[in-house]
Amino acid sequence: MPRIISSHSISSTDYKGQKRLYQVWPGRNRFFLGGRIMTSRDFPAFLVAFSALVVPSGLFMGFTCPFLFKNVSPAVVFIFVYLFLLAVTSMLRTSWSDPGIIPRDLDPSPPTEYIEDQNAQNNTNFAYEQARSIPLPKEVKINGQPVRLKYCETCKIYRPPRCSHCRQCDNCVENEDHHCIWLNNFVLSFFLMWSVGGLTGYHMYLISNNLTTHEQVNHSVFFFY
Amino acid sequence: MENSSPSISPGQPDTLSSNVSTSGITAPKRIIRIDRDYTSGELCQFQTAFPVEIDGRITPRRFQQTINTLNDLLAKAHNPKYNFFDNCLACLTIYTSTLCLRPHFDRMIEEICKFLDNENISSYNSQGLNFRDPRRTSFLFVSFYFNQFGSMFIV
Repeated sequence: MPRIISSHSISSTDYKGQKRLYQVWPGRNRFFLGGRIMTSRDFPAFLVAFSALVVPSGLFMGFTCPFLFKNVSPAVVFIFVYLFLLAVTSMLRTSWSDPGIIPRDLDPSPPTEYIEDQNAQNNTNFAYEQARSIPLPKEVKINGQPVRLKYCETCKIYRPPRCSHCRQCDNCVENEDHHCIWLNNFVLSFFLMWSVGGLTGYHMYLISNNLTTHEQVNHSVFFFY
Repeated sequence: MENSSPSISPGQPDTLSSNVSTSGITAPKRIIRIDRDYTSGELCQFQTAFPVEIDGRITPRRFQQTINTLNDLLAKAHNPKYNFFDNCLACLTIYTSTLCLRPHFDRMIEEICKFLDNENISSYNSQGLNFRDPRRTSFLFVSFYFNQFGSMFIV
């Protein structure tokens, strides 16, 4: 769905003097460049992953590429530079874009159910009753199957199917698979090539069948997808 | 259980709305919500059930026409062929293609917003109704303001 948190097109001229959404956003995110870039607060891990990509490539370009350019073929160097730029821009784009965060407070007062506590004394305190009320899940029918949509207390919304609350960002995210991906090792070996190729193939299969890794792990829960 | 009747919430001060009245005339407003219709799967579609609160202002047929067109545009926006082409092109050109050629999905969302604006101007505002920007609610539901006295909606 269209990204609204970091969307620049919903401009500030519409509500003069009021703050932009990203300036008052309560989730655990950081925004840069006037809301165009958003990321989580876990900066050190990103820097490690980014340098793990840039540093070996830089060393390769500095030491090996001049030799390859003259002695093997210039095409090798151009292909490497193209792949390097593609890897860097993909990483930055993935890291800095809005993953599909759902706006908050869409259902501020959901229907609730009071839980009977048999051990409690005759407590008529309103605050006590409020604390013992839980929001009821919403029942919808997807492809004929009844599904219960849970209510998120932090974001005050009913989570649509496939949505999950990310604890690291403290936001509900549409179509969540998992929070972050980063490879720990960048050793250029046959094993890594095989595992990268295998992962690529596996994820292409998942994308083409509109699945996430959650379903692969908990197959019985998501059988109706 | 089919969620056939749209839910109503009392009008709340909407600081994110672009529909701020500039005329100085304020009329009591409620927000009527049209929920998503999941019967055909995950694709974003909205229910065509007619909200009884607007009976008399808009004919059910006109309302259904609006929602059906909205659903068609949404289905077109999510068409995998165009999105696949856009993504492949972006990947091959190191994402520079998005600078020249606007992605199909973004263009369709703009078209949806323009369509709702046209509907507002043509039929709904004169009856005291005004569709809100669905992007604000991430297309989880479509809502519209409802002027309780039936006066013309001034944007």
